[in-house]
Amino acid sequence: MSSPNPLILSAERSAEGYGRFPYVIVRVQPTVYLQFPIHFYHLEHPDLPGLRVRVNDPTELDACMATLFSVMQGFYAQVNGNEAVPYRMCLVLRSNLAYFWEKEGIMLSREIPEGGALMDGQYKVLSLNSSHYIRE
Amino acid sequence: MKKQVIVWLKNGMIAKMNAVACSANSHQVSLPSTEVELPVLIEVTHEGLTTILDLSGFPDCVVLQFGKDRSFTGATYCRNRTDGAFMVQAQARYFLLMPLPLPYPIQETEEIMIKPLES
Repeated sequence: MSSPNPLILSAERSAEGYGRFPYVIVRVQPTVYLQFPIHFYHLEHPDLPGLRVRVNDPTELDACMATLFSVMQGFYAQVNGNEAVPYRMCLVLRSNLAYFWEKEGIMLSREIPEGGALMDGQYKVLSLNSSHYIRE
Repeated sequence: MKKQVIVWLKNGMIAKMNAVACSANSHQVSLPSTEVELPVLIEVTHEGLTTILDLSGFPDCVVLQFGKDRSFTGATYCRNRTDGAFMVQAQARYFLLMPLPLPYPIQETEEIMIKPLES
């Protein structure tokens, strides 16, 4: 994105999992997004912000995704519990692959959210007018 | 040409996507490895029992297979790690090639529905 004065994700926040795939984006309002990193773990509960998903083997991506699916359903219900107009939620898997979460299902997209004001779950700014992931 | 594909899951949810659609009018189908963006829908139109998909050099994907009644019949993972040929032969009448990773448990797949693209 070529908007003026971008603020990119810092290395410090990246170390907490921000900007690393996969992650969840919740659109609070147009151009304002919250990012929730996803941490797969087996035994040791990671003391990191975001969604922590317990799996048998964190290196088995297919099994991780199967568990994440039910976690995402619970997270969607938690975020949108009593909302008349549900928040748009997106599971971002790669720079060109995401699934938008809706009440009745999911929608595949080859474009992912970017730009705007990106914040963490505590509404602290992570980046502005920049991509939501770390470009390796 | 693209079509809207809806995959029904056993828990009542759906996975919706716009897929590149093509038909298999012969027993063997070759897909250009770099020019096609997943997901890809292949509708079998020939009368033969089986179809061979040549996925040599194709991007990593999972091949979901559906029968004549559009119900889920099986799946194959395509992960090309060498230069050798890789082909899938199946009796399916509909193939849906999905990018990896799949965001839901594969065994939750139930049925496919195909619609013209919404304008």
